[in-house]
Amino acid sequence: MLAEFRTKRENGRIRVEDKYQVIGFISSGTYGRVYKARAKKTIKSADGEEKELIYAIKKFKPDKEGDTHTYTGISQSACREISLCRELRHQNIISLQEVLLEDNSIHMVFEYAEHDFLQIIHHHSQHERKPIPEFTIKSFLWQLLNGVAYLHANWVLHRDLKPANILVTADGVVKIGDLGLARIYERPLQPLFNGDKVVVTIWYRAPELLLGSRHYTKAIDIWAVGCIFAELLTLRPIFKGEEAKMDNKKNVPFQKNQLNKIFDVLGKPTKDQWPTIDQQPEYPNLSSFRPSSNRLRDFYTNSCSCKSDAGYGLLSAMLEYDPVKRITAEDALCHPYFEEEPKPSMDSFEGQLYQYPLRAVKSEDNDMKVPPTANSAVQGQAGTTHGGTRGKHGHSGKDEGRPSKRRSYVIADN
Amino acid sequence: MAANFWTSTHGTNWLLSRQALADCRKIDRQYVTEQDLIKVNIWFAQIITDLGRNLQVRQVIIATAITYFKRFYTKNSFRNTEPNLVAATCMYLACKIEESPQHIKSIIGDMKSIMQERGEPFAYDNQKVAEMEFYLLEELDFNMIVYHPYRSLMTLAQDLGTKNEDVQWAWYVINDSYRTDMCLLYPPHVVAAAALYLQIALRGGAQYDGDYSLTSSSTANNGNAGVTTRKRGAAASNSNPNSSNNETPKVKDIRSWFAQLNVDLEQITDIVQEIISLYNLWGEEDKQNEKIREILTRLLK
Repeated sequence: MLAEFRTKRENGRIRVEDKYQVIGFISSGTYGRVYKARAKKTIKSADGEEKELIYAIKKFKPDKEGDTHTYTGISQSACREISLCRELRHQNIISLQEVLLEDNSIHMVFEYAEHDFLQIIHHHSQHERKPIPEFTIKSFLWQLLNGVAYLHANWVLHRDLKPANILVTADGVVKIGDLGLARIYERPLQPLFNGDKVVVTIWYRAPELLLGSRHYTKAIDIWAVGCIFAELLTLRPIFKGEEAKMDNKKNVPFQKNQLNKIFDVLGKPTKDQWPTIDQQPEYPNLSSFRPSSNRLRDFYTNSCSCKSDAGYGLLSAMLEYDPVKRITAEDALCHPYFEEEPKPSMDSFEGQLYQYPLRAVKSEDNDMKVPPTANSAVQGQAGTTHGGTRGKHGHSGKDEGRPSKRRSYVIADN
Repeated sequence: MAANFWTSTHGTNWLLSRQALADCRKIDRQYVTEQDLIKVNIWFAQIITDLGRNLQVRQVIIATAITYFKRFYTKNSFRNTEPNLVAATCMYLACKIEESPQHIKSIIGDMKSIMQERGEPFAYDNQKVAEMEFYLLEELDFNMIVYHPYRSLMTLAQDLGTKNEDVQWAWYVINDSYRTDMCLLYPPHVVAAAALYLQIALRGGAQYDGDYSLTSSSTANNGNAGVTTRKRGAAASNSNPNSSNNETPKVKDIRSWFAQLNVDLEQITDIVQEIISLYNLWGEEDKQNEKIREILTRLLK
């Protein structure tokens, strides 16, 4: 019986190569690889010109379990990403065109985004050697918050916001990518902590997570946005700590180094600032830190390209210790900072005379078929000369020692 | 999405008309009657429920798994598939989606013992379930987030001031609704309202003001027998329909409350009747049921 069903299904299946031509390979991670591809079908634009449609295809590796190499179905991460992307529709969230299954692999076809925050930050720090224009930063931040507000309104936590996961189209529209760690948090069946012991890449991880909070909220995403805002302003991660690794017993270690980096800038939190801090599981560990004062104002005045007081106000509201007091995405969108000139725009590159380098695309690949007439030399020129591939849809873990958050999913014992 | 049912894939792609559903079942209907098919659906819903209980997963996960199963069979006939494999796979996927993943081996192990109780082998391994998961995903068109009436029930019951034990009773009615096609036909909040209505109609509306019949009361009387004769654990058996609530103050005028819900009362009546006929038909089920075996033989050839 199954044979008959299988034949019917396999015959009806559209193959990836029937619809898309792979241009080259963009990045890889533990989940699999991302490719740049063009649709074989072109569309006619309003002025009658043939237009090419470009996509990013994320191909998941089949989920192999341990060393037994038996195939156990699609991964939790792919499951989350597909199910959420199917439901979400917003200008500032990367859109999922379709999902194709082939050779035991899932292929998620996403709209293509030429840039990402990390790439733009690097371009400014390594090549331009000058700050990102304030108009661009403000437009980036507003659109990022706009996408986060939409996620939160729909009870979705992203849980891995960082510059590499925030994409930008050639038209300057911000697209939040990589929902592989995202999940719905409205009345979860189990405390969020039970599923994933560790969430958010260390540099962007909120203090309540670092202190072992079992029940966290959307405020963890806002902390990450605050860190990203600071990084856009200074071109450097604001809290560049070192992650203490999990031991063999999968105990979550105390992240002393990362907390130190935060306290260096924001001061050691007091019970006044954060009344429930003593209920955090790791609170006893804080006694080893010396009290220090908040010097975020100095940091902002001395290191940031932007001098707006309102900008400082917003940054400190997002880097508020107490998650209950931390500003929400909804409120942040109405912050006076966005009322000031230059006002944010949906085209973050408006009026800009230069173009950021295109995303690097490599042709060498032994997985998906890349045509031998590799036009990738042309495609990737700007990016390749500047060296380095960057994680599209995130996880450029190898990139300059940037940490990444790969899930260590623990199956609940029940 | 999560916040708005009407823009979700459930709301836009997976609410079918009765006619559309009947069309989906044309092939199966060549081999068995409409009634038989209802029994087949009850049978597999029970298998999935038992599997969920064995795995000790929450009710919502069972409901999601059954919904997947039913959606799958709107795209396929029973005849060319292996429903036991589909059922196990639906549970496997539902656990992942509801963020309570289960090991594939636990799913298979528990499914084996459940089928053994029914005198059937379950001869599938990891590979087969994983393969089936792929097909299932495709048939679901990757729409995996499913809405259920439970949450609406809590909201409605709170607004109405329903007592806890009565909410519990309505909760069980919702569980039972997954043995019918309700999850394919009506939005979850309408099913929740219907369950609450049934609770009021069958178990005494004394705590409420006004006439609580939406249409005719005959269906309600008719169903009363069905519900109370079934052994359904605490909810139905412990409680005498009229005993509940002399002490409770009269809460709301029930008819106007339903009227202001902004749900189609005809749909509610429809669901109520469907559930009552489920109770009349079900009940006799027995794991070694010869009748169902005979139907399955015809259906699956």
